[in-house]
Amino acid sequence: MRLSPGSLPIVLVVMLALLASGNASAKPAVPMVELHVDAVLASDTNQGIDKRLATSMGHQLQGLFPFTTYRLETHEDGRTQCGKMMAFALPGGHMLHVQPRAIDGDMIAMELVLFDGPHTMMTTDLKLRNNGRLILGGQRYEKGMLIISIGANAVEETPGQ
Amino acid sequence: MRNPGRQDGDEAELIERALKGDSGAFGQLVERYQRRVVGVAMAVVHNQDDAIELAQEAFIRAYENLSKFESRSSFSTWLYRIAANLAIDFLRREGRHVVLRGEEADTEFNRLPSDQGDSFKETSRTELSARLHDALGELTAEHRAVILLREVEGLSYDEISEVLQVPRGTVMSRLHYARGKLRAILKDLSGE
Amino acid sequence: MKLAMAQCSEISLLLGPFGDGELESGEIREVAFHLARCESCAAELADLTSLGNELRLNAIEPALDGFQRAVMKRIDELPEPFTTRVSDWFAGLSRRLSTGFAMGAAMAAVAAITTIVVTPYAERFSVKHLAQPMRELASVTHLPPVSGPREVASAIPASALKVASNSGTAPDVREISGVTHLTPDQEPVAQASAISDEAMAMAQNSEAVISKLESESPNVAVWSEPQNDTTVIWLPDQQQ
Repeated sequence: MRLSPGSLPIVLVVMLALLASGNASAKPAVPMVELHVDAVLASDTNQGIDKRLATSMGHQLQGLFPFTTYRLETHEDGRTQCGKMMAFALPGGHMLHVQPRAIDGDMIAMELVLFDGPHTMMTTDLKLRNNGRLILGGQRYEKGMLIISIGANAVEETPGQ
Repeated sequence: MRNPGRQDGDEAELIERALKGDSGAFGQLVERYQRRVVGVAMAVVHNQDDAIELAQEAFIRAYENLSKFESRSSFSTWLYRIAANLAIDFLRREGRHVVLRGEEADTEFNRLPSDQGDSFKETSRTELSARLHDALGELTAEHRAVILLREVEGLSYDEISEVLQVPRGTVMSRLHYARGKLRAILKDLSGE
Repeated sequence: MKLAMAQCSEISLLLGPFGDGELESGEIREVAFHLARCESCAAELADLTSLGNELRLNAIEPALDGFQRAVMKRIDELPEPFTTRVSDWFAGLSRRLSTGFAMGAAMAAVAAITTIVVTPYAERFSVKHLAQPMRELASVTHLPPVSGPREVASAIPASALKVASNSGTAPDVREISGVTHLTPDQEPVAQASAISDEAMAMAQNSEAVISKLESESPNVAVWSEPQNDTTVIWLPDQQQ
């Protein structure tokens, strides 16, 4: 079959498109992690569970801790690549830095650093189960205690999506 | 409850070689555990000279009975138990609780070597140190053993239970008592 | 489920084991929550911690120069066991004798004499207290606390430590004040310390596996709540 001179531009375009899609499919997936950080005020004022927590971790908190009031103070979601740090501002002048490092099977390796103002309160390296939760607690806040919930789940995507 | 542990490969090899008559291999085991075995003996008898002598005897007993040691268990715990038993028997034979007070305590300190490496500094004997030593001397050997094995030698409750051949619950209650007693003695001695 | 607050009298008995890392998960939680609200018990725990620190700081470091040499000298001077001397004598006898019958007779004689003499010898040297099997038990080394700001928590329960130890990462191990730090991303090696059944179960069911934890909080506690799909790190405020 002979190509007519008029069809040459179309052929070139098709070839370029095929090359581009080939390149894109050859790129490795970049591991991304979604992070979910909640700050909850827990106290003994008999006000029950904040409605905003009722469908998520309210009952879990009741099972974990002996307080009578759980009020959601902040909720923040983020997404970051492995190797990049995300910062979450928390009540009471606290700050949480989360840096996912790698996804290892069903576990997400990460580093957490909790600050109280400029003061480093805790540094931890851990592996958290995908869709699992880590709770940090014990810091006095207002008339109760601050409970920080950190959830993480792996997202696989390629750049440009 | 803890799982039965295992020998690390190096130690198992040393024990095997010692059993075949390689005294150098046993010498390495002595070097590895001497500090802790003396510590166990000291926890009971509260006297360095006696503890060193008892620790040496513990190693001799271990050497003589090495064929009876079951390799699936802990050599260190087996060794510490020999040392603890010798120390307790020693105190019973002596028929004494070792109580160090005042002048006798000073004498005890003076007998200690003054220039034996970085860990001992003669000038570091503060008043608190003296009070602490006195307070430990006021405990019975059983109570002193548990608190020193726990706080100084860092043994777990299960290890202390194995070494002293008492139930874990007894270890816990003796620790509770010893801590309370020491705190009370120290407060009395400081005049608080 | 609402958890009831424990009384100080109950908690007081648990403070020592809490600081020693010897409590079960439920007890850790109970003590941790109580300490967060009870300054009196928190002060008592701080007192116990100070007592332990002072005992370690003031422990006599024994003078061990020449200890090993003295032990080996005594071992060299030990009389050769009678059985060994008998065996050696018969080994020499078997070399001198040329017939198989003589060798057989010699071996039978060794067996007979060994049976007769080993028994009283063995009884003389037996250690009566070693009848029970020994178990490998983990050891925790406590070093004197560092001065100034502390990098490391003073009390992470042993069960949590063992969870960390069982993470599959492995030791470059530093033990400071009862906390084990493992360097991540290294090849797994055989664990030198024992892992309790409970800690193994915790590790397998745990939502998180902690390989390093540093904190200035005086009494950090870590526990896993598999039924809630959660791991908790408890960082109480420092005492005023």
